[in-house]
Parts: sequence; structure tokens; C-alpha cells
Amino acid sequence: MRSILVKASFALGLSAALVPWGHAQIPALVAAVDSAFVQEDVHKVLAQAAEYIEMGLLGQSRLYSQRQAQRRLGQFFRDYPPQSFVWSTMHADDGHWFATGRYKAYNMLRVYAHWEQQASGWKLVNLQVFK
Amino acid sequence: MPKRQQWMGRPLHLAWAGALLIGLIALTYGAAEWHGHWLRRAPLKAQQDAIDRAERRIAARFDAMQETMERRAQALASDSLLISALKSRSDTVIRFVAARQFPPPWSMAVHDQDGSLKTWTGVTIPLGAVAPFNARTLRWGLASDGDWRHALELWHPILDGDELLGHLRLLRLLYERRTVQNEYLQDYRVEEEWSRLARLPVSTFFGPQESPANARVLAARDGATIGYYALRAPALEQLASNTKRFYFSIIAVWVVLLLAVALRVIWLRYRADRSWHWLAATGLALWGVRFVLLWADVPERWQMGKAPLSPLFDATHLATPLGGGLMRSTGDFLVSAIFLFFFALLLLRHAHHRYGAVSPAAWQLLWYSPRHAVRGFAAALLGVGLIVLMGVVARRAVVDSTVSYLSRDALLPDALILVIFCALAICTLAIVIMMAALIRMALGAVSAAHPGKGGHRVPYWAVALILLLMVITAAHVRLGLPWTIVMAFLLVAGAAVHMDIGANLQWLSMRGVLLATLIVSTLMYPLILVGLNERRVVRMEHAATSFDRGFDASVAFAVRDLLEETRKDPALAAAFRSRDFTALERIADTHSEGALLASRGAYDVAVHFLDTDQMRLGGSDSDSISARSEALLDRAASSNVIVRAAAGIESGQAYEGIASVGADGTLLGWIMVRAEPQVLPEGADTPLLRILLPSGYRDLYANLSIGSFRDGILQRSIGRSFRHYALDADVVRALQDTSAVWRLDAYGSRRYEAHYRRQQDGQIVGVRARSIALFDHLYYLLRLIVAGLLVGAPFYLVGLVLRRRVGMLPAKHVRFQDKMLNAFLVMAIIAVIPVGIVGVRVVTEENTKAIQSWLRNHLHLVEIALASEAQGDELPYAALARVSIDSLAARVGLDLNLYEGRELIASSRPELVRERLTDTRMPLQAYEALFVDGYKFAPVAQQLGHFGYTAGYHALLDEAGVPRFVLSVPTLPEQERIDEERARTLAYLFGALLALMILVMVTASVMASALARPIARLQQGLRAVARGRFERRIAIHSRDEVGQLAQTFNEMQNQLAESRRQLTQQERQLAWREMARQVAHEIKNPLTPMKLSLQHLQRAFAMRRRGDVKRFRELFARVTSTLIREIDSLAHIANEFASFARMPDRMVEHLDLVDVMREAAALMQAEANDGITFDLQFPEASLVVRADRKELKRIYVNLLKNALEAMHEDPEGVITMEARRDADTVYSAVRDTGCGIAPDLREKIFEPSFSTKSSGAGLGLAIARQSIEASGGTIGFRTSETSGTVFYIRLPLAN
Repeated sequence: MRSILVKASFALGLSAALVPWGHAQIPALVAAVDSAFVQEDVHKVLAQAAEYIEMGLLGQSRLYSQRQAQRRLGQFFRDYPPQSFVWSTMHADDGHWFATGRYKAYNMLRVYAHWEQQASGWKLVNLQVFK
Repeated sequence: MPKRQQWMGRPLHLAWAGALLIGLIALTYGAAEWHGHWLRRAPLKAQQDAIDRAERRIAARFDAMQETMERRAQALASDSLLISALKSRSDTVIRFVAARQFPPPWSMAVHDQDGSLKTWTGVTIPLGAVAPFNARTLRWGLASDGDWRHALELWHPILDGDELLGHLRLLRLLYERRTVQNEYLQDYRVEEEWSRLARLPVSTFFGPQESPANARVLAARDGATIGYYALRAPALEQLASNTKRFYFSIIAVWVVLLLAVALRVIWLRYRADRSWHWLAATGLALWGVRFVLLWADVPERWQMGKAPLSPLFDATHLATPLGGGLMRSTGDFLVSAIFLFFFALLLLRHAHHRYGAVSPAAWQLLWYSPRHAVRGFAAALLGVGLIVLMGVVARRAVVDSTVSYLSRDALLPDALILVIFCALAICTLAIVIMMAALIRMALGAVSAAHPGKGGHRVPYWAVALILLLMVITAAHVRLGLPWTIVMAFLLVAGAAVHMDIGANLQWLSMRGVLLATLIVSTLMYPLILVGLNERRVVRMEHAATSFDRGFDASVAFAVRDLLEETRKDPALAAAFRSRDFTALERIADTHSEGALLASRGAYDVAVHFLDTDQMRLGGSDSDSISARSEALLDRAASSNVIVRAAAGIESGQAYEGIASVGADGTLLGWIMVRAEPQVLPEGADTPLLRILLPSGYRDLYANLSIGSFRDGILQRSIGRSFRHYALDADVVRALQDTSAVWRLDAYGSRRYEAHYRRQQDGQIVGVRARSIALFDHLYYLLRLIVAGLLVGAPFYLVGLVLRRRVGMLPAKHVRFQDKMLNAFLVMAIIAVIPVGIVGVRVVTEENTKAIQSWLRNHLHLVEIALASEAQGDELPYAALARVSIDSLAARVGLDLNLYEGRELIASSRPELVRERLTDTRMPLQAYEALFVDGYKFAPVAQQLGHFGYTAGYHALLDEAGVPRFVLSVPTLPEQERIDEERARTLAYLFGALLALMILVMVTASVMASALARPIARLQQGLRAVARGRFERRIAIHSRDEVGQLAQTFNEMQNQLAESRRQLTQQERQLAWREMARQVAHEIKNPLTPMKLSLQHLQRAFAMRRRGDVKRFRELFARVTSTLIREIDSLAHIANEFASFARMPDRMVEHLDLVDVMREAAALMQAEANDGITFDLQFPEASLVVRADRKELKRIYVNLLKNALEAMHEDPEGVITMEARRDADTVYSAVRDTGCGIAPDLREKIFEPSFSTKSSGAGLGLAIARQSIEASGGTIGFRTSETSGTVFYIRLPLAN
């Protein structure tokens, strides 16, 4: 049931976004992060993370190495276990992809993600969670 | 069972303990299951119980808060000083408060009975609509400053008897909002503390709003409503999870204890066995315990996010998945390091107990035998592997962390960095110990093997060295591990083996710990530098890539996000329809501080609302919409959001966007957003003050200078390093062949690591970071040494206990050289500490003076600028009516605040005032100095979040000489520079002190050695004299008292030699006389019967002639037998004397004493009676000595013979032969259960002529003593007439 809701909310979110030419792989990445949030799958969320990623999880935003980011995100999932997650807006720009979403733990939180096209492919370079 | 094992607990008790703990685990688990079952059966009741419990805790905490406030207010309001100050209406009321501390979250103000504010401290929160200035009782309430701050407010009347003098207003902050989050500035919400207390999410609501459904009232003691709080009813899953976590935290305690018991059992089993199997089992058990602790989240689960330990387990600071979680947080890293250390100790202990001491010959044998060379190479290879592991650990500790290892805010690093350094120090020490253990095992195996004769003389060490260098080179190339560090580790480990640190408790003395600290820190520092260099390279490359992209898509998206979120505001449509300017301004303010755009750092954001006629309805407080922005409207469609780059400004790329606002299909208007990069203050590194930068932004660009060049000309820069306008021609040339270069730039006396990158559009971006200078290295090394000392302190304390236990303390003997070194060390510490303290004070005071001087001078310049604007005889203050604060600030290049009285009336940084980062009231200390004490200038220490800085206040006097206005300058950008200079100076000072300490220690070591050398020579000379060697001269030619002492000693030696010569001559003569007497005596014995026999033969011969032939024959045979016997006796006596007197012709060789004793025992066992038992107590390992084999065997045969003869009346006696190693000697003994030696004979036992036997010359033991002493040993005996006699021999262990 949850997966159906997730997919439905993703589809609704996607319909509200601009999807430029040549970015067919981005929705797959975004969807992967979407489901990874709900499953608290740290490795899946950060599978495409750059070597260093700017991350702020209800606190100060810091520049983390990928390994440290995994552990930090794991702590966040433990402290704020997800009940649901859905992307609300997505936007593409030249070599960049942005998305914001709603993450429900004890209360509703906003999520912001930024992917950047680098030589080795699309990389997640920024992940923020706000109140 | 050995006593020690009994004292520490027998296995039986451990089994009981284990069973008890298992029972406790089962019980606790059962309780958890029962509780979980109860939760499932009555979920509503469980939820209600949790809520009730949380409410009680919150109520208790809130009541305690009020209790504290009442107590404080009561104490202040009843203070006689305050009362008399109010009565006299003097300014002493200001001094009363200024002398007291009111740190955040407290604020306080005093009003007189008319309601006038008399004094204040802390943040300013406006009065409510109605202030209870006439109340004579306590009044509680909520004080609010918009939606920026909310505080619990207590009004306490100040009474003098019945007379109401005024009121004290005490505030305790409950909520404070910040627009940026970083290490200095964070939101404060009391609900976060209450959430931790209640273990449920708590939301608080303050201010004029409707109470949410199901919210509880936060009521004060007098019933006043302060606010509301809502407790989210916990989901059953969450309740179950919390309950489970609670019980599992208790189970974790039992599990930890059970693991300790199990480890103890395995350890005892290993100690009894000391086999490789049990070594492996113990090691596996140790690491198994560690991983169980990780799996159980111990000790993290016990601190549950509570201060002060919570940062230790926060992955924000350090986290890496290396080793399956061994370094998943700072605290876990420290615990893992401790486990690694104990594992290393286990290996070293095993090597020590299994192989004993390492002989120096083993080092040689290791490399001249192929079999042993393989062992040596394997040990070295494993050692290199351990060093590589250490390098990886250090690198990850730096790369996978966000802490600032190189910050120089203070002398010592902050607590977290100190903990990481301690963990690294423990790891380094453990690695060195493990390497020493491996080397010791390899050498010990060689020592234990029979020292083969010859062996191959091919130097296999050359082959091993070449292979090792190849491995080290590979580690350097692949992992960046400096080969010098690898060699240093190997040398230190080798030295540790050579000095036998595992068996020598002297290394736990203060000097040993200090030296070890210095060595460990020096080994650790380069490894940390590898990680720091990597992190710096990544940051510089990232900065070069992201700087000057032109259009920053992330900022553009943040603007888009701001538009989307603003137009979703439910109050927006109503505000548009009603044209409510205030509501629109509030919506604009709320959303313009959107977290996403704020995290992009350096932008001024303006939000405007336009109606359908393109008229401005409201929005952020800013200038009118620019014509450029209006052009957006031409492009805007009815439903799209458009964001574009605005026309560039000097400080960088601006962004603007527009979105439509509609409801029910009707267009209501537009939202327009403009984001402009902030103007770079002169001399600042970043567009925004550092303390106002979001953390992520600072992580990216802090301490970097970046410049972009086009056609070799500087276009834009941030930071202080790019001051030249043209790019270096060498860089331009280099970038023609490659897209990026690294180099070392010099600017004046400063060196920078520089990275230049050519962008796709042809621009060149350069990034510079200041190089670490020599004194910087010393400073950082000092920090590591401090961490090392923290680690070393417990070692020293443990060492004190151990050394006292084995009798090393108090020391019976202290070397003169050690006393000298200790004295020098104490002197160095005594010298360095005051220098350090004075240095810090001087630097700090000079720093403070520099800041105050800077402030005073600049404020004076401001007054001069105003004076130049004044007309006629106007005083400078009058010019303020014509000159705006902004233009004045721009003119002097400073941020300025203007006060009238105590109130802030203008600021060149209004956004700081709006965001409550600048208070609207002058600090009390400044007011006291300017208005009460009459100073014209006052520097005041202030706080912005957790950032301390100094602000200067300058009074502009009116005609009456009274301050009319006050100008203030915050030193924020200058303070950063001055603080950095101060930190650098302190770094250099303490770096120099560290260098001084090292120099003193090295000098002390050399001088102590030089001073002790003559004394050591004197000691050697005295020892030689004690051994009877008088020919040794002491070669000391100094002209001081020591030289005179040596000369006197040499003269004494000459006299002693002469005396000894004379004594020897006399003794020789005496000995010859005694020998001659003894020979005469011994020869006379057989000669008499020989003479009698011959006389008898003569008589028999005469009788033969008379015909008695038969009798003659008998007599002849008897007499000849007697003669032969007596001749044999003479011959034996002659041999004995020859043996005693002869010069030794000995065949000295290395031999195993145990073999010789076994041979002697085998020989004598054959001669002994059947009832005599031989008990041989020999060790498995060889006991190698240098002696003559035959001579030694004769000695033991002699001792055994004596033992057998002593037991001739005991047919079932026991002869015990034992041998063992005793320090540097071999102890052997022959013990019998015979009759012992009579007391009057004991002194003569070793004399040449003494014997208790009927036959023999009595030279056996004399010969034995002579032989043993010739071998450098001693022989002696212990005897008892009831238990027998023990003859013991000590011989030096062969080197």
C-alpha cells in the first residue's frame, strides 16, 4: 500500500515539474531516493552522492565526506523514523536537477536535494532537511 | 592454584557470576516482553500513561523554572543596595546591575514607580500592552518580540516597607529564532529540552494565536496563560520502540558484565596454557566483545543524547564505516582504540612469556639464516601492514570528519578534537607495541632454536631489505604514506624490542612516559597531515569549480523555491484581497528568511507583492522596485514561475524571479523576488561576516582566497590573498598545456598553496590557502603532545602502582645521570610555564589594547567626519540631522550604530537589527561608562550567539557636555583578523616553547651524560679495585674537583697495587710453606708404612734363608701389595697437588648447563644405591653458559659424590638437582637430605686441605671454587643438620 502511495505521489509530483530533454535518467534517480527515504536505506539515498556532499539535517549544514554522510543520515533516520515521503517539486537546469519534498516523521519536514552533472555522471551534491 | 589467580577470582565464582547475569538478562527480557504485551493489550492506556508522564515532567520542569525565577527576583528585589539606589534616584542602580552576571537565557530590567526604565541587562524584549507598574504582588506573563523571541516574564515589586519603589522585570527566554544556523548562532526552543525530558515530541506555541486543538495550557503560578504545548500522542510502534529501548539499555548492562566475565575466563585459561590456540581465542574474544558492544550501541545508548557526552556519539563531527563501525563516531573511535591497545598488550605479553629475553646474537642469526630470514621478513611485512593500517585510520579520522583540526582559536584544541587526538595516540602506541611484539616473536623463535654452528653467511638481510623497500614504495605510491614515517615506525619498534620495554617497568616512569608521548606524537602528526592535505585539496578543487560559475543554479532554484513556498501561504490570498500591507510584510519577512536560500549564504533578499496594476502592495522593507525588475512582468505569464539572472553588479550575480498569485482561477497579483550578493566588507574574507555564514558555506570557503581572472586580469575575488591585478605569467603558461596546476605562491613573507584551474569559458580561477609554516607545525605538534599527555597520565599512574608493587619504588638506587635529567626537566617546566602564562597574558592584553586603539581611532575619525559636516559653530552631533548613518558608514568604511540615550535609533546594518542580531538598547556597561562615569569612549565585550567580540562606543557631547548621541562600531570583521593574528602569535609562542623544551631536554641529556661520565669512570675504577685489579687508571683530565678526585684515586690505586704485591708475595710464601708442610705431611703418611714394610721384608728375607720359603712368599706378597698401594697413594696425592697448583688449561665454550648436569646425574645415578632418588628440576629452554665442559662436569660429579656420602645413613634419601635462569645469571644447585655440615666445619669447607673423608687430599671443593670463579661465577652452600645441604653455583648467562 505504501509503495502505491509513494508511486502515486511521485507521479503527481512529476507532473508538476519541468522535465527537460536529455534528463531521462534523473527521474529514476529521484525515484530511487524517494523510496530509499521511506525504507531508511542510507546507502540507497547516497548511492549517487558526490565524494563530498553538503548536508544539513535539521541543523547546521556541513560538508561531509560520503562515508561520514552515510553515518550521519543513518543517525537522522534513527532519531526521526520516516512515516512517509513524497517529492513536491522538481526542476531541471543546465547540468543541475533540484527537488524538494515532504518528509513526515514526528512532524512534517522539508527535504531539498540537488544533483549535479559531473564527469562521472549525475551526483547528489546537496541534501537538506528543514523544519 | 597460584595465589594470584585465587585473589582475582576462581573460575567457579566466575561461572556463578555468569549464570547470575544470564538470569538477569532473561528476567529483564521477560519484563520487556511482558511490558510489550501489556502495551499491545491496552494501547490507549499506555499512550495515555506516556502522555500523563510527559505532562508531569514538563509541569515539574516549568514549575522549577518559575521557582528559580522567583528566588532570583526575590533576592534582587530585596537587596538593600537596590532599594537605597532607587530611593535616592541615583545612578547606583545602574552599577548594581552592571556588577552582576546575567548570562543567556536571562534578562533583567528595573523600572521605577513611574515605569521609567532605570537599568537593564540581557536581550531587549518590548513591554506588553499593559505593564503592571502599580502591582504590589508578583505578576507572571509572556513577553514577546514579534515572532523572534518569547520569554517567561516575572514582575516583582521592589518595596521598602509599604512604599513601592519600582519593579524588577525578570525574563527567561523560551524561544529565540535565528535566520542563520551555524556554530555560533542557533535557534533556541525550550520545547527541545522538554522533548528530551518527556521522551515525546513537544511543540510549544507562544504569542497571539489560537490554541491548537488538544494543546495544554502553560500556566504560570498565578494562573496567567503563558502559552500552550502539545504532546503528540505516541504511536503504539513508537511506545513499543521506546519501551524496548529502555529495557534493552538495562540488558546491555548485563551483557557488558557477562562479556567481561567471559573474557576473564578465557584470559585465565590462556594464562594457564599460553599456547597459540588460546592466544588466538583470547584475541578473537576481545574483538568479539568490541563488535558486540557496537551492535548493542554501547555506550551510546546509555547517554541517550544527553549532554555533555552526546557530541561524542554525534556523526556530525566524525563518522566513517571503516572496520565495520569501529570509527562510527568520536566516542566509538576512542573505545576501539582502547581495545586495540589491550590487544597489542596481549601480543607483547605472549611474546615475552613464550620467548623470554632476546639475545643480541638473534639479530645476527635472523639475517644470516634463510629460515630465520623468512621469519624476519614476515615480521617486517606485517609491521608495514600495521603502519599502513594506522595511516588509513589517521586519514579517515581527518577526511571523514567536520572538525577544524587546524583552527587556532585557542591554545588547546576543543574537547572533541582532543578526544580524537587521544584515540589516535592510543592507536599509534598500540601499533608500535604490536610491531615490537611481532619482531620479538621472530627473534625469540631464533633465540630458542639451537644456535647453529656457522649457518649460511649469505646476507639474506639484503634480499629482505630490498623486498621491504618495494613494499614501502608501493604503500607510498598507492596510499600516499610517507616512506620516512614507515621507516620511523620500524626503527621505533625495533628500539622498543632492543630496550625490552615489555619487561621493563622503568618505561612507566615520568621520563619514560614523556619520551613515549613525544615519540608517539611525532609519529602521529605526519599521518594526520596526509589526511589534512587531502581534505584541503578537495576543498580547493571544489571552490575552484564552484566559484564564479556565473549563473548559480542552486541559488536560482532557491529563489524559485521561495516563490513557490510564498505563494502557497494560506494567508496570502486574503492579504492580497484586503490589501493588508502589514500581513503582506509579515508574509514576506517569514518567507524571505527561507532556510534554503539562507543556506546559500551571501544574499540580500527582497520580496515584493504587486497587484494586477503592477503597483506595490507590500513586502520586504527595501527600496522601490527597480526598472530592471519590472521588465520581468513583461515576460510573466499567468501561471508560471520565472527566475533569471539579473544584470550583474559589482559584487556578483544577482537573481530575480516572479510568480503569479491567484485564487479560484482569478489572478490577484504577483510575487517578485530579488536576491543580490552582499557587498564585501573591506578586508573581510567573505561577503558576510564569518559568524553570520551558514555552516555549509563556511565549510566550502573558509580560510580560502579565491580570484577569477580573464585574459590574465583579476575580475573578482574574495579573501585577502589575491591583491595583485595580473595573473602570474608562469601560471598562464602552465595552463596552456593543462587545465589545472598546483603550485606554491609567495606573497611577501607568506607562502600559499595555490590551485589554478582553467574554466571552459577561458576564465582562470585561482584558489589559495595559507601554507603551514614551521612554527605552525610545532604548534599543532604541541596540541598532539597535550593529547598524548592526557593518554600518558593514566599510564604513569598505573606505572606508579606496578613499580611500587614489584619494589622498584621507592628506588633503592637512582643513577646520577637520571637525577640530572630530572632536575633539568623540572627546571625546563618551571621555566616554560611562567613564560607561557606571561606570554598569553601579554599577547591577550596587547590584542585587547590593539582592538581598543583601533576602535578609538576609527570612532574619532567618524567624529572628525561629522565635524567636517557641521556648519558654523555646530558641534559634531548636530551634523547627524543632515547626514544619514548609511552615508556616514560608507564614508568611513565601517558599520555604525547610532544611539540616542540608550535606544538605538539608526544602523548601517538594519537587517541585523531586524533579525535581532543587534539589540535595540545600548549594553549597560557602555551606558554606565559613558553616562554615569563620564567617559567619552568605552570598549565593551559583547556576544553574538556564542561569538564574543568587542564593540566601541563613542559619546557625541552637546553644549552642556552631556552625551547627546552615541556612535558604536562593532569590530566584527576586524576582530576576526585580530583574533587570527593573536592565535597565530600564540601558536608561534607555544611552538617556540615546545622547541625550547625539546632543546632543553636534548641539552640536558648531553650534559647529564657528560657530567655523569667521569663519575661512571670512577665507579668502574672502584669496581676494578674491588675485584683486585689495580692496573686500571682513570683517564679524567678535567681541571675541576672531579679531575682532582681522579688523580687522588689513581694515586690510591698505585699504593693499593704495591700493598697488594707485597701481600701477595707474603701470601705466596705462606702458601708455599703451607704447601710444603702439607706435602711433607701427606708424603710422610705412606712413607712410614713403606719403610716398615721394607724392614719387615728384610727380616722375612733373612727368614727365607733359614728355609721358611712359604712364609716368605706370603710376606713378600703382602709387603709388595702394601708398597704398591702406598705408592699409588703417593701418586694420587701428587696428582691432587698438581691439579690444584697447575695453571688452568681450560677449553672454554658455550654449553648448555642442563646437559652437563644431566650427564653428571646419569653418571652418579649408576653409582648410587637403589634407594636414592634423583629429582631433576630443569627448564625446557637451554641455559647457555661459557665454561670448560669437563671441568664443570667434574664439579657436579664432585658435588653429587659429596651428597651421596652425606646420605650414607639414609638409604632412601633424595638428591635434587635444579637449574633456572635468574636475571642475567644461571642458578644451579645440588641438594641432599643428608646430615648437613657441622657448624664448626662450615668455614673450612672450601679450604684446600680440608676434608671430612678418610681418603683424598680434600681439594675437591677448593678446585671447584677455583674453577667456578675462573668462569666468573660463585659457589656457596646452605646447610642444616636436619634437612640436609644445598650446594649452589651461579654462572653468568652467556651473551
